[in-house]
Amino acid sequence: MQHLDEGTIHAWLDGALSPEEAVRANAHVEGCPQCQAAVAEARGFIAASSRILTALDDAPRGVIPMAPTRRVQPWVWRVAATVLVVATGTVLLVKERGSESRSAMSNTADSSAASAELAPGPATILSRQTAAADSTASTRTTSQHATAQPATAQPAAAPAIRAAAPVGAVGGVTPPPIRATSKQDLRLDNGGARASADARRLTAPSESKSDVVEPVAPARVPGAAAAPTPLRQAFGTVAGGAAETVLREVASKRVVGGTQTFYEIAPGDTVMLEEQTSSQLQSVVTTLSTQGQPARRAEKAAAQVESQQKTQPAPPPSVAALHDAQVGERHSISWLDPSTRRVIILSGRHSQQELERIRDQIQRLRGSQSKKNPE
Amino acid sequence: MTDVERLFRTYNAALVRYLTRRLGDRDWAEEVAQETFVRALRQPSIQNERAWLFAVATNLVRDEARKDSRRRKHLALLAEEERESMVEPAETTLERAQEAAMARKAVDALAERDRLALLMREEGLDYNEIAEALQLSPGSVGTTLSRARRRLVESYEALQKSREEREKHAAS
Repeated sequence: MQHLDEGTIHAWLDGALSPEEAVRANAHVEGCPQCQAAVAEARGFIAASSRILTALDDAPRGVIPMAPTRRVQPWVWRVAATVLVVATGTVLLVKERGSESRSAMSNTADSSAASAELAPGPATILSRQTAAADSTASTRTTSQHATAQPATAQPAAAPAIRAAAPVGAVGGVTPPPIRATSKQDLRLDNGGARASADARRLTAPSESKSDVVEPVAPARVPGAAAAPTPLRQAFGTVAGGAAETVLREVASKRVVGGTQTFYEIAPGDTVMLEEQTSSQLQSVVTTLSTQGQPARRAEKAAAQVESQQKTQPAPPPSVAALHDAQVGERHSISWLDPSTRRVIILSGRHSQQELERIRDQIQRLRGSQSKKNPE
Repeated sequence: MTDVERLFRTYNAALVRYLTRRLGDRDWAEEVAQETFVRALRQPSIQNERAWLFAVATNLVRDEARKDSRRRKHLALLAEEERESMVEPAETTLERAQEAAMARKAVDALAERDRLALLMREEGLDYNEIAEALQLSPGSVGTTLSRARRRLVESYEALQKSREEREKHAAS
């Protein structure tokens, strides 16, 4: 048989020969010292050229691919934000305590004490919340795990619901309706009087059921999963924004390679703005402790949700939404800030439409703060 | 995840590496890679994705692609995400810098077709894919690769040798 040519040897070593050709090549090489040497040489060339080419990977920008590693598990943010939210909400409620019914507030005060301890500031939440939730046997404290374990979210949420309507009434502005679908949203505009009335109607059952006695029993508070909505809407009225809730910065901390800033859209929504100084990557994580609501509520609210969605103008496409990916129950949108040329990722348990609204708010806030806080 | 995102996540690393090796400039490589995915987005269907992507990227290097800024931003974002999962390499030593310079020189010395075939092979393309991307006959890929590898290694070794001699002279 003819000796193997160099191309065939390389094809053989690269596994590119057909099975028959490979068998023939193998049979020949076994009995041909000359071709054995050629094969050995080819192996050397293949290995050496690979090694040489790897040297080219030290390209100017200097990054090499690694296995993807998550910096922080998403649930951590969710839990952290929930702790912050519950703490803020309960503190708010405690403030309002004087003007509210004591029976309604008594449970809230209990849980607010626990959550206030848990949430001295966003910077420490992450490290502390897990340990606290694990080590504390109290059912109320366990409820801080709201988003990680939806069923346990209800006890802490129940007082919030009860308090929400009165707070709104005190402010003279009625809160927009509770969302009934899993598309819990940050509805920033007021839904109008009819919708507000619906909201109170929707809120009422859980009040009557869970008030006063044993609010810690999850089964007794079927609608409590919706708590963040009235919570943040109550806050919205307190903050003076009936038409549009105002973002506010609640905390900021330095982390390796950047800063993390927590914004509160409302007590039910905390937003984490991460700015990485090195890679100029910014990611915004919105967390909202919204779980699915019972079907009967969903049915009641579905119609008004729909009607309200119709009244919502589409968010102005000031910046093109670049990315819409669903991660589990979470959505995220991303965009490139045209002025800073930085990438921003907004994710949360919101629909894309809602995230776009939040995005617009964040952009406005960032625009107004850019003088104060140059990035 | 959209189709282009899947494509991006599957092939971007290899494509950027291929282009970086080809161009010697990471930013440029990423730019071309992004343009390649933009093209893929416009394509109703692609039969052999990898061969298609590498062929288009190769052509774009030649052609200097027209920009499509909006989609480019999308892909820049994805690239940013991916970059997030990367780490900075150890500080480039002088030794490594010299190796890289020699490797670049040796690669540049190859004929274009040989170079591209070799770089594609290094990214895992099989012979059929390389043939498709470079419009070669599948039977000639082995010959092309063997020639590319031999020449690359030989010219690299020649550069290495002359460097050693220079260093010897400098030392004496």
